[in-house]
Amino acid sequence: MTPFDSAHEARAVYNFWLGLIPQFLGQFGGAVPGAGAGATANSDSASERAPSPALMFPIDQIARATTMTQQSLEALAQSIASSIQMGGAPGLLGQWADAMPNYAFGKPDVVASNAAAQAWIAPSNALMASAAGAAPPARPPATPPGSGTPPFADAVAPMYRWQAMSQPWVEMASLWAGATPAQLNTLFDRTYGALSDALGFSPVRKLQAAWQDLITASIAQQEARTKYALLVQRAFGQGLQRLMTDLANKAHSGERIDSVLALLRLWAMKAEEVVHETLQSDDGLAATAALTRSALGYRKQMQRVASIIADFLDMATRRELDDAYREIQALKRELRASRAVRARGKNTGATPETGAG
Amino acid sequence: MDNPAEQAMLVSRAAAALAITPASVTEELQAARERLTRGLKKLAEISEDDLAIATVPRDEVYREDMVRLYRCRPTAEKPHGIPVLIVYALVGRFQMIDLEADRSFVRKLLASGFDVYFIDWGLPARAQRWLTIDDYVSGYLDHCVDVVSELSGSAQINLLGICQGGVFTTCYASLYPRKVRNLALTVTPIDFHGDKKEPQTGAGYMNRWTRSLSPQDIDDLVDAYGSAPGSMIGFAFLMMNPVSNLTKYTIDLVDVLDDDAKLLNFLRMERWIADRPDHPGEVLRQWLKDLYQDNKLIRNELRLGERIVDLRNITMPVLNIYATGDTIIPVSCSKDVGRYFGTRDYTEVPVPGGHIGTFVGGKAQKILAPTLAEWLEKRS
Repeated sequence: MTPFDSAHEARAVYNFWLGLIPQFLGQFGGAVPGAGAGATANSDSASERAPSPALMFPIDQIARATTMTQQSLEALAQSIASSIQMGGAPGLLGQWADAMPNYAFGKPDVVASNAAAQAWIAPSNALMASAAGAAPPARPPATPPGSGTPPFADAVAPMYRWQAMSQPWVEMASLWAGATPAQLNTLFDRTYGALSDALGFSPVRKLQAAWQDLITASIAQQEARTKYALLVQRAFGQGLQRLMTDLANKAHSGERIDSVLALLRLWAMKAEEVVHETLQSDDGLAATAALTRSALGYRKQMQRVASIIADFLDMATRRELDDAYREIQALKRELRASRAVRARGKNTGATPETGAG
Repeated sequence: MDNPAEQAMLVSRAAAALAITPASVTEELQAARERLTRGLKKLAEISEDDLAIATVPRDEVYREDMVRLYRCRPTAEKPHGIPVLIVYALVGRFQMIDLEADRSFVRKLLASGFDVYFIDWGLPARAQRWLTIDDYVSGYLDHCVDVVSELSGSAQINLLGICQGGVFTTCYASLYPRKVRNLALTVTPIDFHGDKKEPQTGAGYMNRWTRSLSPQDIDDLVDAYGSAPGSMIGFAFLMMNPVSNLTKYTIDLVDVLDDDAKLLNFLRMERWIADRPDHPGEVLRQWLKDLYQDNKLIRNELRLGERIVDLRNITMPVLNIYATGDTIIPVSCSKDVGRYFGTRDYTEVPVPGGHIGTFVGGKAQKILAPTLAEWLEKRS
C-alpha cells in the first residue's frame, strides 16, 4: 500500500473545482481563453498547456489550476483596467454588479438558465455520477432527459439490443396478422404480457417501467439541483452586497484597498459568510436534504434497472454479492466471539471486563 | 437591495475604499502572472520524494484484513514503559499525524521518549460494507491493543484517539477499561448535540445536515451506496467552504507557488486531503443515526454488539484536547464533557487553530505534543 492510494477518486473532486475556475474568474472579467462556463479540466485548452501531462497527483491538477488562473489574469487585468479607465472605481464595482444581476439584485428566475448556475450544476453532476459509479470522473455529466443520449445508456444498451432482437418476431407476426408492425406493437403491449413472461420476454416490460421511473427520478434530481443552485447563487449575490457594504464602511473609516487580489479575497470572505448562513438556514438545510433524497432516489432507480438487466443476463447482482459479504462478516464475528471465550478460558483467574451492558 | 438608486449610492460609497488605478492593476496582475509562471516551472521540477508524507521510520507489527498496525522506531534510547497507540478516524488517512518531518506530531512524541504505535485502517472495499463500529472497536482495535500489550510487555497501554478515532477509543475505554492506562482524546465529538446550545455560523454543518434528515433517509443513503465513496465524503467536506476552495485553487496560488516551503506544504496537504477512503456503510449508519441524530454516546445508550457503551466505566485519567477554531467538530461538541466520564482525573486543553491545524498548524504544534507528553509522563 503506498502512502497515497485513492488518487482516482480524488481526481473527480479536483475536476469539480477546475470546472468552476472559468466561471469564478469569468464573473470578474477574467475569462479563460477557450474555456466556456462549465468547461472541465479534461476538455479545456488550458489543461493542454499545463507543464506536462504526466505530472504526478496532485501536481498535475494544481498545474492546470495555475495555468487557467494565469491565463485569466491577463483578461482580468484588461477588463478591470478598462472599467476603471472609463468609470473609475465606481465603474468597476458597477460593472461587477451589472455582470451579476442575479447576484446583486435578487432575480432568482434568471438564475435557472444562467450559465453560472449551470456551471455549478454540471460539474457536480459529473462528480456525483462518478461517485455513484455511473461514469468515470473524466466523462461529461449525464445528459438531462429529452436532450439526447439518455443517462445510464451504457448500462441499458444490452436491453436495447435485446429489444432489437425481439423486433423480427414482431415483424413476422405482423405478416401473419395482416397488421402493421406499429399496430402490432400496441397489440403486443396489451396482450402479449402473459405470453412474453412465458417466453422470457418480461424483462423488456419491467425495464420499460423501470426506465420511466428512472426518467422521473432524473427530473426530480435536476429540480432539486436547480433549487440548491438557486440558493447558492442567491447567497453569492448577497455576498456581493455585503462586500459593497463592507467597502463602504472601510471608506468611512479611512481604510483603502490598493490590490485587486485583496479585493477578490475580501469578496470571497463575504460570499463565504453568506453561503454558510444560507446553507445552515432552514431553507438551506431543506434544499440540501431534498438534493440528498433526490440523488438517492435516482440511484435507487439506476440500481433497479441494473438489477433487471443482471437478472436477465443471469449475472450476480451487487445485492447478492453484498449478501455473501454480510454472511462472511457474520461468520467473522462468530469466530471473534469464540476466540474471545477461548482466550478467557485459557487465562485462568482473569475477570471478565466490567463494561458489559 | 432592490432599489437601483440605493444600490448606485452604495456602489459609489464602496468605491471610495478602492485605491486601484489602471496602471496599478496592470502592474499587480502582471507580477502575479510572472509569479505563477515561476511556480509552474517549480511544479514541473517536484519529485515524488518531495511529496512523500508520513515518512517516519516504522515497522508493520500486525495486519488483519485491510488494517495495519505500525510501531514507529523509537528515537529515545530507553522509551517510556507504557506505549501510546494512536487511533485515527475512518474518514481520512493516518498520514496527517506525520505529514511533514518538521511538523510531525508523531516525531515529537518519539522525541519525548514515547514508544508510539498507530493504526492504519486502510482502504475498506465493498466487502467491508457490513463492518460495524463494534467490529472496529471490539475487533480490530482490541486486537491491536493486545498486540501492543504483548510487544511492549505492558498489561495496559495509553490510547490516543483523533476525531472519529477518539469516539472509537472512548467506546473501547468504556468496554475494556482494564486495558487502558490513560485515555487522550483530540478534536473528538462527545456531545453530538452540543452545537444546539451554542450555534455557530460556519461550524457544525454536518451536525445540522444530519439532523435535517430522517432516520429513513440515512437508511436509504447506506442502502443505496453500501459504502460511502471517498470522493463523496471529500466533496462533502469541501462544500462546507465552497468559496474558499475557489480562491484556494486560483488567486491564492499566486502566493503559494512563489514560496518553496509553502508550495511543498500545500501540495502535501492537498495529497492528504484528497486521499479519502470509502467509509463502511454500517459504521456510517450508526455514526449518523446513533450519534449525530440520537446523541447516544453521552446518554450511555450506544449499543455495540451485545454491550452498551457506558461512559461512567471510563475511570482512567482522561485528557481532552479540542481546537478553538474547529468548524468540523464544533467546540461545543468537544468541551465541557468531563461530567459524562467516570474518572476523577479529567483535563481539558484548548489549542488554537482548526480541526486539522491541531496537528499541523505552527501554534498548535507548540502546545499539542508537549502537553500530551507532560500529561502522560505524570500518569505513566
